[in-house]
Amino acid sequence: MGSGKGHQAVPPIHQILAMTRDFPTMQLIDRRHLVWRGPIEPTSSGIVYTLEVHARGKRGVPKAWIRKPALVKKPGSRVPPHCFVEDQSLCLYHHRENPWQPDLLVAETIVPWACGWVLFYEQWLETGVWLGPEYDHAGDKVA
Amino acid sequence: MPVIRGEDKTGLLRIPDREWKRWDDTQPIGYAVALTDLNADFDKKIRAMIRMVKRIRNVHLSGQRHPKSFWIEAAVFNLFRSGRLENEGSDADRILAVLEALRADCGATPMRIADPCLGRNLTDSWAQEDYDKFVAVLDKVLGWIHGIANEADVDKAVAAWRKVFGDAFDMTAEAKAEAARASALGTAAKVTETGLVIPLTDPRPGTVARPHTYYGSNG
Repeated sequence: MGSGKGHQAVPPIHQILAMTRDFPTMQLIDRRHLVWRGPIEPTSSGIVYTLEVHARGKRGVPKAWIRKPALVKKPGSRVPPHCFVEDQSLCLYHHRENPWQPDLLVAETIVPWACGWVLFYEQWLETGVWLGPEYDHAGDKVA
Repeated sequence: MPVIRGEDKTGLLRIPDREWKRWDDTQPIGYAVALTDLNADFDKKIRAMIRMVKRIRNVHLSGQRHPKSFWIEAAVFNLFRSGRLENEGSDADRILAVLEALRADCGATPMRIADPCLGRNLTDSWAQEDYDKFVAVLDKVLGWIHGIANEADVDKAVAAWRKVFGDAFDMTAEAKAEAARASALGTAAKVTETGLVIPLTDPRPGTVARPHTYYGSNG
């Protein structure tokens, strides 16, 4: 997943500049590992979330977390919908689709995708249904 | 109402038409069966569409005798049975398709609506003035609905639907959420610098999300 074979990685300075340009409230808290943290408000609910993005996560794949507020877990589960059990990071794409590549900007991928995740999460809280496109537990695309 | 049973065994009945003082053939059981079957083929949406069109008639043509409820039922039923309407889309998409099809069938003189079972025209008694008002209502409602399609604000969309269906209209939480999803994302969206997800058509600046179709399952 996201091995990036054949894709030349974006230089860190470009990642930093793009994030500063597109999401200036995201603060670079670890320059060496390219980690940002900052507030996002994806909907008109008035709830401000703290998003944390690691551009160089496990196996070189970016990871994102909602650090605040505490997310509601799915009934009978240890995690909210579409979060990895191992570290509770957001599961923003299916490995089969693999839309992330190292030559892409985190500010144009992970951050917008995380904002969309929050929108669907809030709808899930209200309706009990995940209205975003997803793979079901059998691994089949739902929508 | 006096009813005469037909001599065959098809369930045909004859009922008096008060306006013309004549006996009209009707086949309510046959129609009910046909509607039930067709409704099942269209995910049980046909009855919902019939109710919606009747609701529009009640809200915008109150006090007017025509179009009669069965005329509306027959017109909508015939549209679905003819294959002119697809079995797809949200309720909003479907009602728009129904209304557009009805409007397309409207000519200068009262439209002919065939009895779904017997084929005879139901609308002989439709006065031109009442028919013109019905067509005007269709035009007005279609204008509102077309405006809703471009409305990204869910509350404004609900307000517009209330004009169509009257003040009693309200969306369920799930419908609002679906509308928000559809309006905000569809196949593409952008995100402002504060993280707000907005449609591409929104004039505010934002970062366009790269093509992204799936949110993976847990782990």
